[in-house]
Amino acid sequence: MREEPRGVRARPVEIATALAYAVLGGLAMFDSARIGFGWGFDGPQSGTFPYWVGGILMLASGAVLASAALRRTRAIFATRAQLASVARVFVPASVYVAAMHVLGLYVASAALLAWFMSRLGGYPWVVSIASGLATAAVVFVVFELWFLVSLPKGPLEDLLGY
Amino acid sequence: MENLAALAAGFAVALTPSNLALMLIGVLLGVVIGVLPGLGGANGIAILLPLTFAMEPVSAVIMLSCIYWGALFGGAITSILFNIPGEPWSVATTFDGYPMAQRGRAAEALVAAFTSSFFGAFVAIVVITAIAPLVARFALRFGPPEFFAVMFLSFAAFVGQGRGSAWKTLAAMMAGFLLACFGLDTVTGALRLTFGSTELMRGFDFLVAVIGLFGISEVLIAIEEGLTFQGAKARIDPRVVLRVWQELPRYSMIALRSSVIGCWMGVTPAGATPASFMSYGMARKLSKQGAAFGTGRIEGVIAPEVANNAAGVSALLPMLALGVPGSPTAAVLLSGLIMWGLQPGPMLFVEQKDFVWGLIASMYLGNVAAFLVVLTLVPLFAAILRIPFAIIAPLILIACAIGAYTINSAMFDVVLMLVFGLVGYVMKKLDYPLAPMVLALVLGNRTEQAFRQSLLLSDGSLAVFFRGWLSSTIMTAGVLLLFLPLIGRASAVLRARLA
Repeated sequence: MREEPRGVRARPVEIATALAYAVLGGLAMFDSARIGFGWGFDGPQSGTFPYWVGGILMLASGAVLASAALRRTRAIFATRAQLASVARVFVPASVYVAAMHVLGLYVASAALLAWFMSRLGGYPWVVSIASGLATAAVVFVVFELWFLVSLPKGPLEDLLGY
Repeated sequence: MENLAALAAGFAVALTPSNLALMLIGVLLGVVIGVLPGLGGANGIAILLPLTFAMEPVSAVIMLSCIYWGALFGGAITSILFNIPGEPWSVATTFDGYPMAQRGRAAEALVAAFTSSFFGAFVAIVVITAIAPLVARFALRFGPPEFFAVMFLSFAAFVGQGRGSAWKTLAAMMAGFLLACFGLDTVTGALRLTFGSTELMRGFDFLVAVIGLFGISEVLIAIEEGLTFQGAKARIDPRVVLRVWQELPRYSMIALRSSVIGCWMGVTPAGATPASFMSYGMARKLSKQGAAFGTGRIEGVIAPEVANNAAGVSALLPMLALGVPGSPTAAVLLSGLIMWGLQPGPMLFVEQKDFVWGLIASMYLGNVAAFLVVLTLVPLFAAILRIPFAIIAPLILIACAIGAYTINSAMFDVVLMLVFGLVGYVMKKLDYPLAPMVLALVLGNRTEQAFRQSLLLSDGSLAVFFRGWLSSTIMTAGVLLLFLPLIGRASAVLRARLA
């Protein structure tokens, strides 16, 4: 007997996703009903198209939901180890996006690269931080100076006069 | 003849030194993008699109389309050398390409893959040159019902020809249409599905969705699989090239068949990925040595590679002639057209001759360039994969964030990108197809517009779509394609019962 890997099963995720789609479809129908999905004095009302699209979405996700609910399977969505690796990328990425709002893109990008290199790549801190700063500098030259595209900036750039 | 004259004029546009340089840059970038898991044609081009605002439209489209050709070629490199498809459409190439590499025949497999890719692309470009102007001229007669019928046909083809669950394809597609509905309704000025949020008033930007769905989610999938790159040597000896080329004419039937499959799947937006699988399956079924497929048969590399490049290139045919893209990458190029101030659709061939024919001419040149680049620089591209993922992953994340931000200079889009990344990850894991969602998102507004205008013509009767012979033919074809899987299943059941 092969030992079953521990993790999240596919069935609940399948059901939850189908439910999420159904809710989206339902919301669309609800909101379309609010603005009208019939025949206005100037043609089809704003809600017509999303109303029916939402309806088809509910139908399709209902079918997916039914087949997922009826099929008894022990298939795995992702093992714990897999989810842990995904989190190792996704959590820093979320922090990165949040930090971008406060610190600007350059500082956040430098920090992101340094974090990945030292925590996941096992590089020494000095090398990682230097690489992060170098990346930010390259991005700055390419975007702000060559292409004249302004990227989000934070307090550090203010301090430096940009 | 008229086409050839127009093509010659197109070459005059494409052959300027600056455009040639852009072509080369595009191809090089494209191969790198194709090699890296996490960066693909669609999101690679989406990230770079905002940088082309200030460029001449024809130069911009030449560079961006060359990225696409490069990515189509590059996907095969990692499939063969590392058993890791750099692009979804090169998954089928791993089946026989990697076993060949394991037996020390990597160079042969690579030469066969590149040559096949070039062949497929070339056939598709010839098809575009010959047919696209005709389709466009024909489409000038289209009214709203016909346009809606064409959209219906395209989306029905997804459901009918998709490989997974038809319901999931339908759900993904409808979700895409709904995402397109968010925000201001441009016809009546009503706010739809915003639920009071001002951020949602702008609606969902298609490019942001592409970067999240294809870029971020790819990185998550790649890290989950715990990538370790241990691959074969990648040097290509000129003698091997000649030997493989001598051998290849034997497989011309497979190549021709695969290019037909590829062109068909590319024009109907089923896309390059199913085309490569279908062509591989056909080659295996029709071969006398079918059982030996998967152990390193060269036909198993030729068939998918011809088909995926033919499909990838011919996806531009409906994009140019009708304004209906045949693949996510073509859809990104389409939103580029809008960004550069061009109106996609059949009028493009009338009003923007230089642009269209310059692009078509550059397709010939770009594919030759891509072919030569991959053939000579393979070791360099393979070396990119030896860079540890701990460096590649954050760089891709940063590129995606910059790309998502620069589209509208909106921070909210970067957050959305991350959300789309997570959605894309879950969808991929559960086998929901992403391409129909993305195409529905980009075509949603125009589909709805065609739908509304048609209904206005008929005072609200749905019969309008079956009234004219043209729209009724297209609609009927669409309905047939939609129920293709049902018909196939029913006939299989029937045959099983008779046997």
